Amino acid sequence: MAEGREGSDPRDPNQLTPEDDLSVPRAALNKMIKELLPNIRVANDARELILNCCTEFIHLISSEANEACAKQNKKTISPDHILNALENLGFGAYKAEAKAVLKEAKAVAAKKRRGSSRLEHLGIPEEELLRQQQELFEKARQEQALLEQQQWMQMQQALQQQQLLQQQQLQQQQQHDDSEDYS
Amino acid sequence: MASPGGSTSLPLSRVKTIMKSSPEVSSISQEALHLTGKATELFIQALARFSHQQSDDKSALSYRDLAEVVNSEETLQFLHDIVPRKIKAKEYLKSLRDADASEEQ
Repeated sequence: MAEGREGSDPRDPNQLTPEDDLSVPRAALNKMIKELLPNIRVANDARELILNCCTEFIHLISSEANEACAKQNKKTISPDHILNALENLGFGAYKAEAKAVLKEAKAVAAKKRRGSSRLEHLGIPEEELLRQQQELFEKARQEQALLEQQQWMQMQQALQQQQLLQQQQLQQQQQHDDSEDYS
Repeated sequence: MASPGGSTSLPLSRVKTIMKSSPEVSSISQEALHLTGKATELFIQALARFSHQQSDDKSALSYRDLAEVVNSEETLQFLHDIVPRKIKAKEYLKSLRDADASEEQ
């Protein structure tokens, strides 16, 4: 029987090393399997195995990434460290899809930072923004007033046209001059 | 946590704990953590899907299906220790014969 890490058998429940307690949650795994292979029976020991493979995978990637990180004398593992690790270990195919998650991660982080810092980022102090806002409102008011005036004039013109027409009709009907009849 | 194109199903806090259980790992950026989580998810999907594809019984996924794949794929060598493959007697005898043959050369 092959030996597990550090001489312990990871499948022996009596030997609990700190690493054994740690795995991704069973529920999360079950959900993933169900979505991936619906209506497929997956034995318990197979699930257990996938769980352990998962943990090993994470260790694999983090070791490789950590090594690269240390070589650069950096303390924090960066996204590039992870991406390069994936490539080096034969999982380069995951890079594209993994990167898609980064966009979301950035968006989430940015949302958290938003609040007052956004104004500072733009480099425009708040008073100036208020002033600009007042200007815009005033301009809008004026434009609206102008529009209403135009509409009023148009309506007047339309009314006048209508009245002119009516007059002409009346004149034709009556023989006498009724020009004073318009209102 | 649902997993449409962008987010991950695996809780990142757990992924982080696993990563940090190695003493050499000091800290991980939030983005690196997201990446690892997603890559792990992809790994699970690939492993399960491929094992199922290779399997004779399409209605189920067994330990053996997974073990076969782990032993046949080079990129999965890191899993050999945790997946001892139960080999058939035939294969064992063959491997013995092959070993003898190479010794005689």
